[in-house]
Amino acid sequence: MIQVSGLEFGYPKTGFHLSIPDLEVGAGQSAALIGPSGCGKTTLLQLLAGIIPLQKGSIQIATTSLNQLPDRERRLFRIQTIGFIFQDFGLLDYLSVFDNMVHPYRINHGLRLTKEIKERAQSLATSVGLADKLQRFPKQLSQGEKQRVALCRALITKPRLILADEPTANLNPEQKHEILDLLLEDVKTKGSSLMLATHDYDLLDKFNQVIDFKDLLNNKATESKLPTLAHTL
Amino acid sequence: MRAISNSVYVALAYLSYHWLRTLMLTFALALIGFAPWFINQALQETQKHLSERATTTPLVLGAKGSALELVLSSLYFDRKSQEAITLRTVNEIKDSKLAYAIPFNSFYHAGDFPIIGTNLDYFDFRQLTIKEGRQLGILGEAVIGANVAAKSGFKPGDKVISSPDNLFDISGSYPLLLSIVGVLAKTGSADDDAIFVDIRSTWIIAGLGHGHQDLAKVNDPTLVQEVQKENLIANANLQTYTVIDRSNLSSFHFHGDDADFPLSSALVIPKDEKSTTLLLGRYQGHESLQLLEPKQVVTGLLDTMFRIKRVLDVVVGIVILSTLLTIFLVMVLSLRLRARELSIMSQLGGSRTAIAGFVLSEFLLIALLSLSLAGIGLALSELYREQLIMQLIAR
Repeated sequence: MIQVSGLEFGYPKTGFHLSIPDLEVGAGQSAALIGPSGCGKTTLLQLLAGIIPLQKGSIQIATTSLNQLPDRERRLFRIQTIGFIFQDFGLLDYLSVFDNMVHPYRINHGLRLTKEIKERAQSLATSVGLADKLQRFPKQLSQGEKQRVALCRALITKPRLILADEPTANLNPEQKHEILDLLLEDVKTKGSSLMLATHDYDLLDKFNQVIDFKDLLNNKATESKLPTLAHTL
Repeated sequence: MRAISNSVYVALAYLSYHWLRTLMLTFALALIGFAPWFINQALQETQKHLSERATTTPLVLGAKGSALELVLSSLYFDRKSQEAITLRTVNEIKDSKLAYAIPFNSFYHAGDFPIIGTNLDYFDFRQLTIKEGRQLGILGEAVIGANVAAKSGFKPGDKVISSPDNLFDISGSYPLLLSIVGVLAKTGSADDDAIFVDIRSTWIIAGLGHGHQDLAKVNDPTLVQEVQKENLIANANLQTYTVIDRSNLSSFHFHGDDADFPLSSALVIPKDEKSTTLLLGRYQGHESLQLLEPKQVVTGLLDTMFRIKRVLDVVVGIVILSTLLTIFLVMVLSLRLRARELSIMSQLGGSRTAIAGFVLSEFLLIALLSLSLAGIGLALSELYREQLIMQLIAR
């Protein structure tokens, strides 16, 4: 699903540089991205999503080469193929839970908000226990509920790839497991891929794959099964 | 179409969630649209009212002093302290055979409404018709303008009392209970806001005439204080009337020469243009009187008004510009505050046109709301504008 090769990226003024010679995450796989703050986890996720343009190397998401797409098509590709989850949930405070969930269908004319999508939003909300809170606004929700709304928004387009940027950072331990389990269940049942940046090392054993940024930056792009990595940690 | 409805949906959600800010922005913008338009309309209307009445009134005679005040009090019943002239001056005009004159006494009022003492010529001259009741018949009767009737609820058969000039002036005007006998048809002029009485009724208010029991006929001898050669002097117990009706009408009488009785002004209607020129010449340089052409006075006033309006236009322009700049600043700052929200949409894969569409829709919706509000304001002001302007002119 994700194929990165020869990636070079830097922010000129800050001296930040990211170099990933080789990285691969297969379809139906879940990968955790770990590393210290500021090491470039978010940058990598944004590069993968085509949010920031690539400077050197290539990224392929499901056989589509992102850096060859013009901005307009990259946005359409992103909204159709990738579900994005943010650490701060990224909900719009003036939209109800339901409208937040279906928002992707209103922000790109390439998608169409049909009755079927609305029904899907309903059933997603039911599956995460938000069925009775569809008309509420984000301010009226708990942190865990907010992230569940964000999760539904990411999943409503049936994405083949889910990119999650520390989605559990603002949640309590119980909520963390709950959100992760919901994501992993989607991977399992729908065959999508998940790349999740996190600081929570106690969640790592739930992933197929753990990518340690320290290794990436040391030019040792690693694809390790958890036991090995756990050992190195 | 779908794209537009999505944009409008999200924009509406944003505006209604932040309803207070939306409301304030809408009001500010509506006011910007409303204020200049209203000022312009009000000025045009004022100009129309002022010039209409001024052009239909050939000449006004009054005591020397402010030309503007004389015209405003004679045409719009503006209650300004005006030096009195006498009935003699009106008689002089009549005697000249160059014009006829309508006496005018606007010194008194009943509550907020001016009492206009005049004669029946005035009603013909202004083409005032009775809509309800009848025309003035005897002393102490009044016909009221359409607005007086509408505002006070007075109708024929009701009584209205003249207000004293000054509560502490015990030797001043007598309150007189006036019987309303008719209501005038609406004209859209100052006549709608006045109470008309016969000129002699105002002289009774002025204390120049009165009615009381006939001393020669009363049976109570204690009322007679002193018997002189031909006169009986009454003491303070003698009953004086404050209301005139058919039963006591004959007891009303005036003391002194009526040629000396006061008027606030007179409307002078010359026979022809030559008479106008002659009369104007005759009163030019008169030591105590002035004869004016209202049209000229009002034109002078309008010139001043339009000069002020030009200044006002600049001021309004500056206010509008600064308000627009402030609103622009508010919008820019609000977009900055929403940078995160817009970036989330972008990161999710929102297209540039869709995201711009939300912001644009918000602006357009606010503009639309403001326009509607300004429209409602204008429609409402249309209903009350004339009334408001008449009040501005006359008070």
